[in-house]
Parts: sequence; structure tokens; C-alpha cells
Amino acid sequence: MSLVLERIFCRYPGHAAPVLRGIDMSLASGSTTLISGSTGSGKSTLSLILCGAIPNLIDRLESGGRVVVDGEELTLLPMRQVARKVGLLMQNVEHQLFTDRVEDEVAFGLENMGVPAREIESRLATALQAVGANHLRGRALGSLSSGERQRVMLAALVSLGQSLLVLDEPLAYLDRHGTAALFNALGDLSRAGKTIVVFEHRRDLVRTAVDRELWLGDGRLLDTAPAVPSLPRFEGCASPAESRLICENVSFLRGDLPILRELCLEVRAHESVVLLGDNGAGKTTLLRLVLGLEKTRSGQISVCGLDPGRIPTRQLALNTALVLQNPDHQLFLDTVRAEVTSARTGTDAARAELEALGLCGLAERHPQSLSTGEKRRVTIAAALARHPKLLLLDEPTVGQDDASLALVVRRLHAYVNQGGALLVTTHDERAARALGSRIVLLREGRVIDRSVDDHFVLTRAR
Amino acid sequence: MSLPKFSTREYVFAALVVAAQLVISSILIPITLPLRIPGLANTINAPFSSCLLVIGLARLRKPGSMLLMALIYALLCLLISPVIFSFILCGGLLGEAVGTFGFRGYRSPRAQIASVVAHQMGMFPAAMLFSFLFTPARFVKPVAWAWLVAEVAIATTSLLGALAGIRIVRELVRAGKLRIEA
Amino acid sequence: MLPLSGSQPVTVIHRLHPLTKIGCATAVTGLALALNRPMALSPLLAGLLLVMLLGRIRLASRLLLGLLAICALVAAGSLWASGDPSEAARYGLRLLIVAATIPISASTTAAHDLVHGLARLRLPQGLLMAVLVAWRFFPVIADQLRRISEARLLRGGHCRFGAWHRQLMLPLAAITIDHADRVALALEGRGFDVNAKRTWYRPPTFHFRDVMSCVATAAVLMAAVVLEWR
Repeated sequence: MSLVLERIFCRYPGHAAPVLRGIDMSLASGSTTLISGSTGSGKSTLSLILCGAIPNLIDRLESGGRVVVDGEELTLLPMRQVARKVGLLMQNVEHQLFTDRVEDEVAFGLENMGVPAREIESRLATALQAVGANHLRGRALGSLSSGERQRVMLAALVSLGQSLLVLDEPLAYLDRHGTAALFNALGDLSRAGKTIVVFEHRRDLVRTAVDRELWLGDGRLLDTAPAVPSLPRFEGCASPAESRLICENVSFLRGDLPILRELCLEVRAHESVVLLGDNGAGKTTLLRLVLGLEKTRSGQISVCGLDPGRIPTRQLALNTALVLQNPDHQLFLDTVRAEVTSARTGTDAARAELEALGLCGLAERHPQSLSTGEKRRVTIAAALARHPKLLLLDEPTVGQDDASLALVVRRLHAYVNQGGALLVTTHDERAARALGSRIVLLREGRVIDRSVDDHFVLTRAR
Repeated sequence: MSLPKFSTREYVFAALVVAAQLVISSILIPITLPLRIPGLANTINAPFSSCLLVIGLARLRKPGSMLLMALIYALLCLLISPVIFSFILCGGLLGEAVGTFGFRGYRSPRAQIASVVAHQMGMFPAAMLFSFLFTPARFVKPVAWAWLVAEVAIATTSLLGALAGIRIVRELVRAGKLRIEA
Repeated sequence: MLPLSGSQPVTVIHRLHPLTKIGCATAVTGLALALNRPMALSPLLAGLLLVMLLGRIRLASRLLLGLLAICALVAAGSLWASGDPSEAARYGLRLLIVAATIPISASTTAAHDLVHGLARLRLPQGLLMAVLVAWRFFPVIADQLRRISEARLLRGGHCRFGAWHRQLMLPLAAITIDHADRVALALEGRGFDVNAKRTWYRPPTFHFRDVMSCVATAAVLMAAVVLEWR
């Protein structure tokens, strides 16, 4: 067996229940395993244990058990020594990039391990070849897409000759093409004998590309995962009323690169529009234009009758609210209740939103002590408490498990039914179907289709 | 040359505090420097820089922490100009002297504040001495007065920033975001 | 910083060892502060402009105008106070020379190469890695600050100093701490050890061009000295 876990246990300080309760697992060489679970189920904790971060780097918790890779116990080794056997691909690969150039990045780990310079070149070339990234040689990392950078990081890990690769939520920043490319590369690596463990809550995208699926629930690993739950679908409501957002022939360039090309879009009261598209399609840019954070090259935008290019953003914020992709950008007060309470609408509105989004028990907590999913619900609650006429959500599903997402979806449906206008950007098709009364597909800055009814399934190349 | 033993985690933390300082300086200094008012750039930058440095010292706590952060900043500025490198190093040495010899480390908020204020004030004299090389001799005496006024202004804004930093540290510790070693 | 494949061509200035560039810049700056005659300062400035030309270093026009305006202001102020054009020219030229050294290293040296270069000085490994991390994550933190600032505006953030400090510094501190935890994890996960010996894949090495650069710099400095003392 390539990987053996025995009685893995972990409890965080201040928590009565352990997050992992005696996990046992064995994986064969060359296998690819998916481990899913809801937010807070312990996926990240388990991935940190596998790569040696717990208990060596993160030591303020109670942990136990053994991790054995290729017959060698790694549990008590420093993380930098575990790194010789176990490679970790983090959710956001940006945190793992330390240089400017592809070759330097792949060589970085080899330099750290004292590999002689003459040997680095050959290992680097082999690694890039193994993950299909040879064509990226000589490129600046800044010029690569998210998927390409992830591929370079994969090459960097492969160059170290680790027998176990751990991927923590690898699909978070990938579109469908990036996802397919990643799993093709992983398929090649597992055929070459690497053991791969993928921690990912988007099971629907991954399950057909792995050998085995495990579910982490209540601190234990289960063989039988529950079926992918469906989200509440958007039920029709009152007919769309007055326009809250009109975009007419909007074009935008970043440098010489066209991001949006003569885009036309309208969002009315009682309507929920989802902008669905891959990374780089222009979704976030459109939101920024709507709020006046960028200026259009051509075309016109009207937000509740106002031109965002001509009035101060603060004035626009009276009728609109934006929930950003990273909730940490929007949290700066000392309690959840304070964050949600708006001076304009008062404490009653805040209380209603806390209840609707399951945040009552967290009301007096400091926002920085919450999980990502909880923080996102706080920012959504804060936006809704202001009773905006137009609500904009940028990738609201990132970091949300199904239960949390269902709460959010129900609340947003209610907002739209009560007369709100909702514009959501996402690359998550399941969430798009749940959130949108109308789905608009965006590709390379253009609206491709105004209704989407296709089904995306990832299959593993065999 | 040897610094006290810092772990990888501590080096990284110091590095990112410096990165945040650099970001703020890169916004404020180009706005204030062209006004050619002695000490204005330092005065405006000091509260933000001091706030971040206090957070860094509160986390690192060891003797050598101020010098570490100053060295990282100074070495990066070596790419910009050797002159700026020397200003920052001066300030770092003074701040470290206060923290290590005055308080034997940075465990107390008082030590953190004192070291940071000394660091901010210590950068300016070097800059002033340098600017004397662009100032005709007949203006040296009035410039010395300007220096004194600027130092007082820098000390004041740096102190305000450091106090804000202490508050932020306490809040982040309460939130479980920032772990302070015993 | 360093123009890479697919962007601008790499020039001879880019290929110089980082320590060569820093050393020459230090020597030029130091001498400029000691010289008094505009005639002696001129070759230094001319040399720097030539280096910028060879390195195909272009300054944004706004930046260039701002710089020239500051130098003109200093010179004009000196002229007004002293009535001596030579003294005015001296101060203006000194400032121009100090400012001209700035883009040369910054535009032509990758942080990774700087760190490689500094490794020759036997600085602690952790310190060098910290320099690399600080530079690498500077644009990341800058982007985070921009987003925090925009989020503040979108919530109708007002500009009372206390609110401003909290609305910017607290989220920035929280995000910086998050990044620090993850980056440290990533660094250890890539096998980095503060105490272990580390190899270098493509360390910048001294070549004949570095020697020639030092010789050329020395020649310009000598010429300046001769012009000063003639």
C-alpha cells in the first residue's frame, strides 16, 4: 500500500467535538481517490495532516494517529522532510509561486532540497513533460492562466519525485477546460504510479474521473457518499417589472485586450439573471463597470436610472449592493451583528437577515473567527439588510457547502420575489440553474446564449 | 552575520508585513514627495507603517525582529536606490537598539510602540542629512529647525499609528486570527 | 521587473550581475554627492542616460515629467536664493543623477536574481527568502488593498480618520496574516529549510560584461573627478 492512515484524530482548541475521529484508510499506488465533505467536515484538516503541516507547523491542537507513505512513517517528521514524499497542491496556487519564470518555479523545490544544479535541469525537463507543460517553458508566470499556473505547480511537485500528491480543492479557480486538462494530467501521473488524493466538495465534476470516492462526515470516512443534492430551483414569480440595470453595447479593453465586446444585458425587478462563463469571460469586469469602478470604452450603462460612470460610487451604493468573491475584503467590524446592521435600515432588518441565513448563533462572534462559508453568508446578509434595489453577487458559491448554499439560494429567491433585481456571476452550472430565472452565457466578452440547457460532465481519459 | 533564530513562518510573516508597508508607501510617497516639505512624506506614511510594524512585532516578539523587518525593506529598496537603503537601515538599527537594549525584546506593547516610533524617527535624520547635500550652506540653519518640527510630527503620527496597531492586534487575537506565543 | 520571453528583449544591462548594477549605482551616487561643478556632474548623468538607452528603459511620460519638474524646482529655488546659476545647476544635476539610478536596477533586475546575487554576500538564507517573498507578494497585497478600498466605497465608507484606519488596516492585517500562514505552509511544502544548505539553479555569474561595465563606470568616474579638479 502506498498510503496508510491509522487512527487519525484531530480536535481544535475550544471545540468539544473532534473534527477527525480515528480515520483509517489505505490507498494503493497509482490510485486516484476523491474525498468530499461539507464545509467544516475536516477535508482541509486531513489534507494538512497528510502533508505534515499538522502537527508540525500547526501545533495548537490535539492530534494523533499515524501517516505511513511507502512504508515510512511521516507523522513526526518536519513538514520540509515530509515534502520529499508528499506534495501538496493548494487551493489557490498563487500562494505557492515564489518566482517569476516557469523554469525557476519548477526548480525552486529542487533548490530547497539541495539537488545539485546539473541535475536540476534534467528533472525539470522531465517534470514539465510529465504534466504536458513543455510548451510553457520560457514563459513568465504572470502571463499564464490559472490553469497553466496550476500545471506548472504540478510539474514543480512532480520534479521532487513525491509518491503521494494531495490536491486541496483544485477546481476552485478553474473553468471547465482547466478542470478537464488537470484531470488528464492527473490521469497520466497515476498511470505512472503516483498516488493521488483529491479533496473537493464539487463531487459532480470529479467523481467520474477518480477510482474511488470517499465521504468525510461526522469526523469519519465513509465509502458511501450521499447522492449529489439538488439545490432549490427558482420558481417563477411576478413578471419582471421596471429595469434596474441596462447595458447597451458595452465594450471594455484592458490594455489592448478586449474583455467585453458590445455586450447587451438587462436586469429588471423580480428577475434573477445569472452570468455564466469560464474564467476570463468578463463576468467580474462587467460587475465593476456596473458599479463605476471601471469606465467603459463604449456603450452605455444605466443602474436604477443613473450612469455609474458619472456619479460617485458612494451614491450608487444607496441603491445597489455588491458581494465580493473574497468576503475578507468587506469585513472590518468586531461582531457579525455590527457587520449586518445598516445605519439606514436598522436592527430589525439585520435581525431578519441573520435569521434567514442561519447566522443568529454567530451574531456576537468576531467576523474574522468564522469559516469562509460563514463569512460569505455574513456579507450577503449585510448586503440584503440594506434593501438594495439591485444586488450583485460575484461567484457566491466558492467555499460554500450544499447546506449553506441552499440557505443562500432560498433567501435570494425571496429577495427577488419581493421585488429585488439580482445579477449573479458564476462558473458553477449547478448553482446557476438554482439561482437564475434567466441564465446568460458569456464567452470571451460576448453573450453567446440567453438560455443554457446543456449538461457538463467530466470524464477521465482512459 | 547572524540574526537571532527565526523560523520559516516568522520570516514569511515579517516579509508580508514588509510587503504591506511597501504597498502603502508606494501609494503615499509619490503623492507627498513632490511637495518638497521636509518630513511630510514620512509624517503621512508613519501611521500606516507603524501600525503594520507593531502587528509584526506583536507576532514575532523576539529581539532582532525590528531589524529583520527593516533589513527586508532595506534590501528591497537596494533595487531602487542605495541611498534609500541607508535611510531605512539607520531607522532599523535605532528601532532595534531601543527594543533590544531598552526592553530586551518585544513582548510588551510599550516595547513595540517605542521601537516603532524610534524606527520612524530614525529614518528621517538620515534623509535630512542627505538632503543637506542639495541645500546651499546658507539654508542649513533654517533647515535644522524644519528638521526638528518634522521629527515631532513624525513621532506624533507614528505614535497614533502604533496605538491603532495595538488595538488591531488585540482584536485579531480575540478573533483567534493572530496567535501570540507566550 | 525583468522583461521575460514573450515581452521585451533582454539587453546587456539586464544580463549584468545584480551586484554589478548596485555597486556601480552606489559609486555614481556617492561621487555625485561629492562633486560641485556642473561640468563634472554632466558625464555622470550622460553615462546614466546611455545605460538607460542600452537597457531600453522607458519611463512613463507622467513620471518623467514629474521628475523633471522636481529637479527644475530645486534648481530654480537655488537660483532664486543664491543668484548663482552654477549652484542651481549643481543641485538640479545631483538630484537628476540620484533619480536616474532608480529605474536602472529596478527595471532590469528580477527579484529572484537579486536574491541570488545577494546570496554571494552570505546573508542568512531566511532573510534572502523573506526578501523574495516580500517582493513576490507585493502585487498580491497591493491588489488586496485596492479591493478593500473599493469595498469600503461600495458600503458608503466615510472618511473619518478612525473609521478609515479601521476600514482599511484591519482587513489588510487580517488578509496579510492569512497569506502569511498559507505562504509559510507552501514554502515548507516545497522543502524550504531555514538552516539547510540550498543550491541555486541559475545563479547570476560574473562575466566579462560585468568587468567591462565596472571599467566603463570607473572611467566615467575618473573623467568626472578630473573635470572637478581641473
